[in-house]
Amino acid sequence: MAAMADDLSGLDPATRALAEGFLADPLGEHSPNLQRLLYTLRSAPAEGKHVLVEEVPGRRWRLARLGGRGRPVVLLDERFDDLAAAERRVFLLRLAARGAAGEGAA
Amino acid sequence: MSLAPDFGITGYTDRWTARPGERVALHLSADAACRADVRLHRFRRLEPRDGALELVADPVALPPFAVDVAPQTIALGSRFEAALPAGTLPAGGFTLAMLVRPTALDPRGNGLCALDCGAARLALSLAADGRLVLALGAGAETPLRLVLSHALPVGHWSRLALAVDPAGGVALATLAGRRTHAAALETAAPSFAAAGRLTLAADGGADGLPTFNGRIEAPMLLVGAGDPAAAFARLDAFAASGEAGPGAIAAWDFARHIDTARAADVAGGHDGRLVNLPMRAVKGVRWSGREQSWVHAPRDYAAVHFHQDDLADAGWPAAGHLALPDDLESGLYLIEVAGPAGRDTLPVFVEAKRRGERAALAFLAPTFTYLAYANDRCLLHGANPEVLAGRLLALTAGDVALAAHPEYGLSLYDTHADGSGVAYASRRRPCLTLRHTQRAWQGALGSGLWNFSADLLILTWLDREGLACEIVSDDTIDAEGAAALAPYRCVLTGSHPEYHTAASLDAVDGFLDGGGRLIYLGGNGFYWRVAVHAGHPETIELRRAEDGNRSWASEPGEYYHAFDGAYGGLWRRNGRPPQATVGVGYTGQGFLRCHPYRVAAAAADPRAAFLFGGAPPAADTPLGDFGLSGGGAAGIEIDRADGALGTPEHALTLASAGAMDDSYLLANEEVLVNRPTVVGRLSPLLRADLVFFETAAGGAVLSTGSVAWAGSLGDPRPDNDVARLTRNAVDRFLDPAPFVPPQD
Repeated sequence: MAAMADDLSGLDPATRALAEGFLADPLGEHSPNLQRLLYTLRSAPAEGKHVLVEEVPGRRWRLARLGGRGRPVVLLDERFDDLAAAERRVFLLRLAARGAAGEGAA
Repeated sequence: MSLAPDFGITGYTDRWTARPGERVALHLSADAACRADVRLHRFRRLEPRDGALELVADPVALPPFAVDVAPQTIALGSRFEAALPAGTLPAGGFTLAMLVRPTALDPRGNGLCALDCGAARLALSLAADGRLVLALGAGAETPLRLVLSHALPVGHWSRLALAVDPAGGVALATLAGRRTHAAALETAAPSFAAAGRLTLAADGGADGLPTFNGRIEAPMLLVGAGDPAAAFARLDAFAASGEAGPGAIAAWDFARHIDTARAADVAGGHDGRLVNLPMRAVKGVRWSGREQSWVHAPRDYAAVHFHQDDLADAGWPAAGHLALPDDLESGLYLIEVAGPAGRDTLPVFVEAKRRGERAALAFLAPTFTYLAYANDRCLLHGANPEVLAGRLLALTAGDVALAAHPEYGLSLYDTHADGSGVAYASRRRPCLTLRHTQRAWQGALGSGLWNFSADLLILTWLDREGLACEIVSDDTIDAEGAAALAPYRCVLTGSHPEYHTAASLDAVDGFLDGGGRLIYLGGNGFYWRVAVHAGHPETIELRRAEDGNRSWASEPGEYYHAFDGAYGGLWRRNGRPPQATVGVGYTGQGFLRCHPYRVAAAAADPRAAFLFGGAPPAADTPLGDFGLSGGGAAGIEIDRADGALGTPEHALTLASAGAMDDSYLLANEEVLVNRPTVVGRLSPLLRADLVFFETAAGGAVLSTGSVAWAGSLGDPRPDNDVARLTRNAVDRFLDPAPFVPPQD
C-alpha cells in the first residue's frame, strides 16, 4: 500500500480521502462522494478505455484497452490474479490521467 | 474438461433447436485451412473448481466425423439487387432516379449504386465527405471518374437523377431542398444493352466500398436521358402514388411487400431482392405523423434503411452435417469442432423425439432472448456499461474475438454505424455470445454467467437432482404453439426469458390455460415483443418503442414491426404485462451484487406449505443469502408483483427482496417524473417478489422474479434453501393432483 499512497500524493485532500477509501475496498459499498467520483471515472468513452481480458477464467486477467467500434482490443503487458488489485490499478491510472487533464474533484 | 472455444475455428449452425434424427449443418471458418474433428458432448453440469466453473459433459458415441475447414469471409452490409435482362436498358439512353437520405459516411466512403451490364459499368459512391463520385467504364479499361463539387447532405432527403446518353455521356443531378447541383462526364457512354444487374446501396464491385448508410425510396429507371427536372417530377409522382407512369423501364415500390425481402417492380416486372435484410417499415419522404403504422399508410413507409453493418446471413458454406442419432435423449448438446487451427463449441438444444415420453418436466430454452443478445457489443463500443456494472469490464475470449471481427454483426442492444438502433438479429452468422464459456458484466460478481451460460446453472441443478427433463425452445413454441408444451405437466423457464413473439407468449398462456404448471426461474421475463420474419425464420425483429430500458430508441413513427405489422415494444405497452402471465413483472436492475429475499408472512399460508416441506420459515428469515451470481438469489434484473398490472388477487407473495443496494435503479416505465428516489432502498417498487398462485384450470405458477435465482440454484452447497424450495415446487407441480384457487 505504500506505493499506492505515493501515487495519491498529488491529490487534493478531499480526493485523496476518497481514493484511500476506494483502495481499501474497491468492490465494497462506497460513500456517495466516492461513488460520484467513480461514476465520473467510469463514464469515459469506450475507445481507449481500460478493461480486463480473462486469461484464466476466475483466476487471471490481463489489462487491455478497447479499440472502439470495429477495432480489436489492445492487450497490455500487465496481469492480475485478483480483481481488487486490477480495480486499484485502473483507478490510479484514471486518477492520474484526470489530474494530467486538469479536472477537478467530482 | 473445458471444451473452451479459442475461435481459431469459428462457426454457426443452421438451427439452435433440433430433434433426434435430424442433421445439423455446420457452417465453419478457420484462421488457416485444416481438417477438424467433430465431436458431440451432452452437457451435464458446471462444477466450481479453483475459483472457476468447470464443465462436466458426456461424450456421445458417434462414428468418426471430420470436416475440412477453410477460411471464409463475410460481405457485411445490406443492399438491393435486381437482374436486368438483355435489352432492358434502351440504346437511346435512360435515367436512373431515386430519393436518397444518407445517415452516416464511412472514412473509406460508401457505395451508393451500380449498373453492371455486360462489360459496361456505371457506379456512384459517396466519398468520406459526402461528395458524389461517379465512375464509368467498360471491361478492363480504367474507369473514368468524376468527383462532384458538392456533397449529399447527411440526414436530409435528396432527389438524384443519373442520365446515361450514349452520345453525350453521363449527367448527374441532385436536388436537396431547393438547391440543384449538376455535373456531367462528357464522353461516349458504353452500351448497357447486355443482361446485367442494378445494385443499390452498394457499389456492386468485388472489392467494393462499405455499403450505404441511409434510406432510399422510389428507385426507378426511365426511358431517355432528358431534363433532370422531369426525372425529379417523375420521382415525386411515383413516391406519392406508387404508380410508375408511362415510359418507366422499372420502378421499385418499397411500400409493397414490406414484410418480405422482395422489392416489387411495378413497371417492368424486374423484382429486386433486399440482401442482408435492410430495415423496412421506416419513414419515407412523405411521412407526416398523421399515421404511425405502415399498415395504415404504406406510402408513408416507402423507404428502406440500409446499413453498412447489416448482416442476415454470413453465407458460409456448410463444411459438413452432423447427423443426430435417432435415439438421442433430449438435452443440451455441445458440438465440438477442433483441429490444428483451433476450436469452436456450438450448442444445440435437442428436443425429444416424442415429447413427454421420458419426462413430464420441460425446460423452455429462451432462444429468442439468446438471439436478441447475440454478439452484444455494448461493452466494446456502445453505451457505457461500466457505470452499470460498478466494476471493471472483464472480456472473455468471445468478446475479444468479436472485437476483432466486426463482420460477425451486431446485436439488438447495439446501434449501427449511423447511430440507428439494430432492429433485426439473425442466427445465420457466428453468434459468439452463445457459448458455454461466455460470461458478461450483467452476470454480477462471482461466476459472471449470464443469459445462455446462466441457464446452464439451471441445467446443472437438474442434473444434480437427477430430475428427468426435456427441452422445448422458444422457436418451437412460436411455430407450434401451446401444443408443444401440452405433453408436459411442468415447465421451467430460463433465468431471463425476456423476448417473446405473440405466438410464443400465447403458447405459454395457452399452456397455463390448459392446466399446466410453470416455474418462472428468472427476472425481466416476457418483456419485449419480437416478431419472426416469414421468409427468414432465423431472424427476429425488435422495435424499442415508447418505453422500457432501452439501449436505443425507435424513431417516432417506427414503432410497428415490418415483419408482421404489429405494434412493437414492451408487452406491457401491448396490454399484456408479465404480471398477467406469471404474477410478477420487471421493476429494476443492478449488476454488481445480489441479495437475499426475506420470507413474508404469506409463506405460512397452508396453500404454500408444500414449498417449505410443511415447515415454513418465520417471517423475515433470509432466503438465498448466497449464490454464484452476485452472492444472493435476488438481483441483477428483478420483478415485482402488482395487482394493477395483472398479478392475480389470490397470488401469495412468499418472500421479497426489498433491501437492494443503491446500484439498483427503478425501471424507466415506472418513472413518470424522474426523482432521486429511484435507487435502492429508497424505492418501494424496487424489489424482487417470490410469488405463487394457482390457476383456475388446476395448474399453478411459481415465479422467482430474479435473474440471480439460477446462481443460487446452481450453487452446490449442501444446505441450499433455494434449491430445496425449487425442488419442492417441481415435485408438487409434477403431481397430477389439481391445484385449486382459494374460493371466496
